[in-house]
Amino acid sequence: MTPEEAAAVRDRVLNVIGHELRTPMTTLRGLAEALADAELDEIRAEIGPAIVRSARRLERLLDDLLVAADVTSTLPVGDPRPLRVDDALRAAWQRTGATDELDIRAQGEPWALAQPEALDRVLDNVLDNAVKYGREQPTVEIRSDGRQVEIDVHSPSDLVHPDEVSLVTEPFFRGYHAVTVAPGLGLGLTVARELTRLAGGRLEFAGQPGPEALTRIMLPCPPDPA
Amino acid sequence: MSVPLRILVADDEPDVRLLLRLQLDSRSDVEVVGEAGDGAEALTQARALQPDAVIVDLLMPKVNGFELIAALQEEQPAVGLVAYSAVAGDFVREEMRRLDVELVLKSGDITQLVEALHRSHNTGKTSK
Repeated sequence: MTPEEAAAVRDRVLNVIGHELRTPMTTLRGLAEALADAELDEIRAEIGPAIVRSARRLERLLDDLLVAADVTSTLPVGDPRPLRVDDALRAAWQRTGATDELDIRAQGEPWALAQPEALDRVLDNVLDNAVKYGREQPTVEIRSDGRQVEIDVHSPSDLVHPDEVSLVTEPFFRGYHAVTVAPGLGLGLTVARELTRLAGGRLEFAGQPGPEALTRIMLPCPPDPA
Repeated sequence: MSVPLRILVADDEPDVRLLLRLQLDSRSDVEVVGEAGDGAEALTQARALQPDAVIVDLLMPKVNGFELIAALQEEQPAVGLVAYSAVAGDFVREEMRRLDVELVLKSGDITQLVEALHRSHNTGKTSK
């Protein structure tokens, strides 16, 4: 990379970080000010959870930046354990704020051996992408042979150019069309890929005819989930 | 007492919409008549509600803010438009100048946004 290219990447990253930090910080400040002024209990009841959401968004942003920089001090702690992937997907889908049920089709027992918080972050990041950039609700297929579970998240989307597919999981990459649709650091799939790798699995991204974006998460199965 | 300005809020962040609603509802010169979480919904709402002015977030799914501005300038030339963004690089500032749409940053005081809404509405009434 030439110095000019490096400077361009740095400027782009700083601009995106600026936007991603500014939005929740500004919202947080505004909500706190509104809380101080609010007289009605029902307004205060709305503001409290909104403040928490903005604060959590900032925490997640900082954690993603650290993971992308190979800083491991904020990685989830705790041992991996048998987890039902379909249940984890439904919970992650609910966290996106979606009201419709997620379409999940499973073949075999949908168990994975993973640290719960890490699996949640992987699924949160993948489903957040589907919500932000998908034309319609994603659908999920789960396949397991008892040794490895594969989770395919199909998201109808024409925002990823074929030339960009190999770059989608790279840090700070954002597609040419994606940048006009939603803000983002370009770290979601990078962090999901890294957390999946640390769990002994793999995450792959592919553009498919349709067009659609396919994110495949592969994780080890527990030896005896029962 | 003058009639409050009727405002449509278009922003894909629910908490931004909540904050704007709280801040604007506390004032007597503006009234939030609708909210939209994406540009397509904003167009539908604008056609149904015929607001006096629209707060337009620029990055939104389905139809983004730039596309929404172009559509509203075509369909409802008298509606006031204010672009509302967390940050604004050179491209955004120049594009808003080209489109003759006032730009307000989200970090500013709510008074700045309200004054811009009134200006945009008055401009819409006199020039279109």
